[in-house]
Amino acid sequence: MFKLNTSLHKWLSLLVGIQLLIWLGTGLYFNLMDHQKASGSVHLRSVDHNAATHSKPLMPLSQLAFDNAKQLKLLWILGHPYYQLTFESGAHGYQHKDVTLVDAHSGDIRPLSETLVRTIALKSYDGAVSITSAHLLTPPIDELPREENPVWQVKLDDANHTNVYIEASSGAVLGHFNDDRRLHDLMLKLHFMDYFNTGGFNHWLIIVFAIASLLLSMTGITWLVERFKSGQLRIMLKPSSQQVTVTDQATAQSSVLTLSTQETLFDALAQHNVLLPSNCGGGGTCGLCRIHSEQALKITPPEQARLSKSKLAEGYRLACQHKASEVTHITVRTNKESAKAQ
Amino acid sequence: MIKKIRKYHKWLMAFVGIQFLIWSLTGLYMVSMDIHFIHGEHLRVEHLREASPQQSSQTLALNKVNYSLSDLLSEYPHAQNITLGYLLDKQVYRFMTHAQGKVLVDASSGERLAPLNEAQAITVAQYHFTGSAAVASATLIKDVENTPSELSARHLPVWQITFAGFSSPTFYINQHTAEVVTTRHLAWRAFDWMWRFHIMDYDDGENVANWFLLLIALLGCVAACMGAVLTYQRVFNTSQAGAK
Repeated sequence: MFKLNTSLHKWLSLLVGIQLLIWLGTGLYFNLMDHQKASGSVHLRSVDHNAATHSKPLMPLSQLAFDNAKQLKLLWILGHPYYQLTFESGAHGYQHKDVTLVDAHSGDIRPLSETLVRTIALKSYDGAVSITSAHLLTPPIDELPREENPVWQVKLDDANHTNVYIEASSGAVLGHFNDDRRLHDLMLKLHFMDYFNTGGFNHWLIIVFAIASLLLSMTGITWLVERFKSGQLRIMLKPSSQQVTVTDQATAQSSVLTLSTQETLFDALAQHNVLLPSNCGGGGTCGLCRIHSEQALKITPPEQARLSKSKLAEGYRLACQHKASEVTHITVRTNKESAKAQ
Repeated sequence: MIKKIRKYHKWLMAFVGIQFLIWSLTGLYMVSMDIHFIHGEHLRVEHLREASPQQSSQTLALNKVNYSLSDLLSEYPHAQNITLGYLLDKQVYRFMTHAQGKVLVDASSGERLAPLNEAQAITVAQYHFTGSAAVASATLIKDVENTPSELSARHLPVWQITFAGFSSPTFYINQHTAEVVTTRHLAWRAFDWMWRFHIMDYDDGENVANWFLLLIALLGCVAACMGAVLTYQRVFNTSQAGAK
């Protein structure tokens, strides 16, 4: 069970490790970012569409030659009145909608002209700037992945590479997309694992990774609980030590070492330059830091997983699983390097 | 080196590991639940969509609009955001004025409609609700102090109409315009709590930039980087000279 848990932890971390670091890094970005900058609205200001006076009569609604509209709005665009007729629309603005703009003086269909769009774009920008280009885009639109309706894109020549997006069906400014906003959107894309440009976070890739990270956390916590139970996750307030006679298996030489009882034997021995072989660095997963003791020591799950029954019966244990306080005499086999050091 | 990294990974995770579990759990909930379902779109009849077989969608009858826009503009010269639509089966204008706030006017008579009473609010909620459950409660919310955290105070005054049922579908209806300003149900409320725990802002969930998240995320980053080293070491490095 212990072995399954730790090897699951290892392989899951291999699967989600990079994405987990991306989640943490982008999460830190969202924590530290400047919200106004990141939303691209540093130079955004509202456009005044109201007319100074509206003396010219509006065409009576009964004379409009349109059936089947479900909603009608009197819309002022740069001082000129329009009837905005909605034939179909969804719960969100970005969802597909069927909307027609009609000149409220003449009653004719009058889509937003490029001239109007360019004026709105400049008025929405706080500061002196000029236009590089203006295009009516149809979905899919790179910077607005969820948008399902045509949108005007006006490129400005400022230092921050601002694109102004204007809804074709209303003249409303959807937003300023500049380099700050692009950085924010890239971070969001990374956080949402939206590597296939769905514009959202409800997709199978992130669901699989979320399940894998949940298992990674659960196996990690199980491991921590196991370590806590075997006494390797306790904070000792009073430092104490224990005299232990350590015999080297190869040379048969013994020495009495004063070992700290706060740490595992593996770590305490290392402080005295007695380096036991290990791949995992004291995690109980490689089974290399074997020691021998004549005393009756408890058997921990990693030992059950890594040492054979006969070895356990003979008195072999793993140094990373026991504290110095548990023993008085042990036999160790050391690394070549530590033998040299001694 | 590996030994130290293992030790620090263990001790750091002993402090922040629970938050990793919370991040994965809340994240899994948020990505696996369809956001349109969370937003309660299934609770609302989309009156502005193409007519569905069950619900005939209403189209405007412009010839029945006796109170013209010119009339409206002469009576309310500063009216803004004027919209012509339906309130149940009645054609109405909805607009804003600085002096009167949100105004609702009958489009055939020009008569200004009074704010919704309880019975009207319930009828409006039932008109928009896709379900057929009974109304469990109807409350008029006028004060900012009594506003539940799931509702933005800018929508006030609203009728809160809650239907019976496991998920307690709730409709918030503006008292002046009779429009559904928002809905809530169990899965959305759960989503809000998931979000709060995800960004570690436990009161209103509005502040991602809190120092607690910063601290735990920084420690978590360090712990995760150490974990990456340990994984690399265990998966790709099989030499035995580890305990230096």
